[in-house]
Amino acid sequence: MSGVVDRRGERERRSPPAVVARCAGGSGVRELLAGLEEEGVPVRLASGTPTGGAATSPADSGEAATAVELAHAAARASPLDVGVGIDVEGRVCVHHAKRPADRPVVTTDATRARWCGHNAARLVVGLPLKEPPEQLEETWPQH
Amino acid sequence: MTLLVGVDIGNSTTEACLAECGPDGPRYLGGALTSTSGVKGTADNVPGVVKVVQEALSAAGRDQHELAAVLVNEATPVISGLAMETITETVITESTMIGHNPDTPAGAGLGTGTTVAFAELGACAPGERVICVAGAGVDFEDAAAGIAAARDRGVEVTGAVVQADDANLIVNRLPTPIPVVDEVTLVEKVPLGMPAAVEVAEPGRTVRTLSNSYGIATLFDLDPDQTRLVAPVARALVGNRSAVVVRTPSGDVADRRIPAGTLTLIGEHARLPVGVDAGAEEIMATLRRVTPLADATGEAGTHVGGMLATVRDAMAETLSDTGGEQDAAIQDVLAVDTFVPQRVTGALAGEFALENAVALAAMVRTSRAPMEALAGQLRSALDVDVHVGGVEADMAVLGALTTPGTRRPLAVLDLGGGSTDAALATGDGEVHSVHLAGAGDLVTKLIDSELGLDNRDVAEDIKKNPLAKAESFFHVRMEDGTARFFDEPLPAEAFARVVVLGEGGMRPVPTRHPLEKVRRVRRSAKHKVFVVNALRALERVAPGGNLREIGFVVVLGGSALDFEIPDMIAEAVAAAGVVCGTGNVRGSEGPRNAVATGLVDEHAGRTR
Repeated sequence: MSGVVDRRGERERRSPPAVVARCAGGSGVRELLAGLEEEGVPVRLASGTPTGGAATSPADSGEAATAVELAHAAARASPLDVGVGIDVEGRVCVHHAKRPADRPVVTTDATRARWCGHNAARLVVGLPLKEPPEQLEETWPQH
Repeated sequence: MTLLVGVDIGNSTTEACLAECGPDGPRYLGGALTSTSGVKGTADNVPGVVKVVQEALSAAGRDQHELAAVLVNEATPVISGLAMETITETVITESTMIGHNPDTPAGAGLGTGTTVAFAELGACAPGERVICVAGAGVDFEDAAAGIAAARDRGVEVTGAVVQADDANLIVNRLPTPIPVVDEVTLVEKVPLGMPAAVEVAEPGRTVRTLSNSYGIATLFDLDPDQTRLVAPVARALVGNRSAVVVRTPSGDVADRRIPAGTLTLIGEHARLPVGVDAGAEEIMATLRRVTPLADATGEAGTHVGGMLATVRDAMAETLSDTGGEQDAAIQDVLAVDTFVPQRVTGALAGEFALENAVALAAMVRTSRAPMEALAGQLRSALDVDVHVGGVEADMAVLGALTTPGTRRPLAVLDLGGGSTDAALATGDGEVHSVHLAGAGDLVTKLIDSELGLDNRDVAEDIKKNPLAKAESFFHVRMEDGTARFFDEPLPAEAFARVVVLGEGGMRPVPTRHPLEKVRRVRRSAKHKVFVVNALRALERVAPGGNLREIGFVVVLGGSALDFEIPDMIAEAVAAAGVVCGTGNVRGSEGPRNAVATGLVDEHAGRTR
C-alpha cells in the first residue's frame, strides 16, 4: 500500500502547543476547559477513544476506556506532555506523558473537573497544584 | 584492666562511651546513642541509660558482668524557655481593603466607581461609574454577559470583584477588558454603594496607585488627615499584583503598636529597664550593661509580662518533675527580632500582614538535680557501681581535648537544643563556663513563625536539611543549583514546590514563598541565634573578654552536626585569629560523645 501516507501524526506535531483533553462523557467538560482558560493555557479537545481512532486498542472493542487511559493517551498526544481524560462514568484524570501509565497526577470525579483544569494548566506552567476544593464543595449546598 | 562506661544524659539524647582502663590509660572500645527517656536529671532517665549501656556493650561484644562501673555526670542545672509576641498589629475596622494576591487576576489598569452587586447592575443609570461585585453562584458566562450588557447601555463598569476563581474567564468574554480581582472569599462583606477602586497590574508588575498613599488620596479626594489614616492600607498593598480599596465613611485600617511593655533586667550591680518595642538589639545592649544578670522581670499586664510568665510556667512544669520548691531566677535572656505573618483582623480574602515580633529565650538556673536518686535506681537496674561525678562543662572540655589537633587553652562551644554553653580550659587546668539562653529550639521556632508554617516538624526539617525545588516529576534543583534526578516519579503534591530532602525522604514545604526566601529565613534564624550566642559565650569565658586569648574553639553538641552552623561560627570568629572547628571526639565520634568520653578520661586519670 505504498503511496498512502497517514498524515494525522504530522498534523498533530504541527499543531500549536496545547493540553489535550479526551472526553468520553459530557459532564464536567465545560468546567474543565474553564479551569485551563482561567490559568491561560491553551487546550485542544480530542475524541474520547484512547488512541484517537487511529488504531483500536483491546479496551476499545470491549468495555469503554477509563479516565486514566484516556488521560495518558491525551498526554502522549499533547506537545506539552499534559493530558486530561473524562470517561463515560464522569471520572476525571490529569496525566503527564513522562509518568508511568498507571500513576496519574490526579484522579477525581466530574464535580472537581474545574480543579483538574487548573491543575493540568499548572503542570504546564510549573506552578504548584491547587488545594483541593473541599471547603467550597461543603459551602455550595447552602446557597 | 577495668571495663567502664561513661554516660551523658542530655536534654534530648543519652550517650555512652565504653572503655577499658589499664595502667597506660583508657582504651576506648566504642560508644552508643539513644534518645533520653523523661526529663533530664530525673529517675525517668533510667530506661534510656540502661538501653544505651547495653547497646555500647553489645556493639563491643562485651558482657554486662564484665562492667566495673557506670559513670554519670552532674547534669547542668539549667532549664530554658521560649516565648514570642507580636508588637505590631494591623486591624481593619469596617472592611476597606482587599489586598490579597490571587494567582490569576485579569485585565490590567485601574477602575474606579461605586460598588454595585451583580444583580443590581441592570438598575444602574447610563453614565454611572460602577465596580461590579459578583458573589457566590454567579457563573462566569452570566457575569460577562451582564457586565457587557450594562456597558452597552452606557453604564461605565470599570472593574469587578468576584468570589470564584473566574477573573480571566470573565475578561476573556468582554468586548474590552476591565480589571477583575477574583478569589475574594468573603465577597458578601464588601460594602455596597461605596466609592471603590480596583487595580490589577500587568503580569510581573505590582500595583502602583493603590500602594501609594497619595494615589489613594487622589482617587478618593482625601484631606491630609484622612490620608494619614489610609497610609497603612497603602503599605499593606505594597508588592501585590492586584488590590481593591473601598472607601467607607467610618472605615479605618489601624496600624496599631501593641504596648509591649518594659523588661527590667536586674544585674548584680545595676537594674535597668528596657522597652521591648525598642527591639532585640537594644535589649541585648542593656543586658551587656547589667551583666551578670541576677533576674529579669516583665511589666505586669503587658506582653513582656505575659512572655516571662509563659517562660516561667513552662519551666515550673519541668521543675515540678524534679521535685521541691525552686527559685526560678532568670540567669540569661536572648532577644531576637522577628516577623510573624498574621491574619489581618477584618480582612475579606484571608490576607496576611507581616507583623514585627520579638522572640525571647530565657534560662533559669535550678538547684542541683536529684542525681543521687537516679544513681540509686541505676545501680539496682544494672547491678553495677554507679558514680556520679564531674561537672558537665569540665567533662566536655576533657572530651573535646581528645579531638586531634587541639590543646589548652581550649574553649568548648556546646550548641544544644535549649541552651548554648561555653567552657574555657586555661593552661593551668581551670575551667570557666557559662550557659546562655537560646539554641536549636529557638531557631526552629523562628523558622516556623517567620514562614507561617505552624508545623514544628516541617520547621525542624527545614532547619536540618538543604532545600530543593521540584522542577519536573523526575528532578529537583538543589538550593546551590545542582540538579538531582529520580527514577521514581515524584508525588504530585511536590510538583513545582519547595521541598526538603530529609532523612524521611522528600517533604514538600507548605508555603508560597520562593526557595530563596525560605533559605534566607533559615540562615538568618541560625545567625540570629547561634552566631550571636557563640560570640556572646566566648566573650564571657575569654580572659578579659578577649577572643584572641582562646586559641582553640571546639564546637560540640547536636547543632554542631548542622550543615551550616559550624561554618557560620567559624567565619564569625575567624577575625580573632582563633582556630575554630567542629569537634571530632576520640578522632572518630564527631561532635558527639564528648561528655561521656570526658567522664571515662577523668575517672581513668584519677585511678592512675
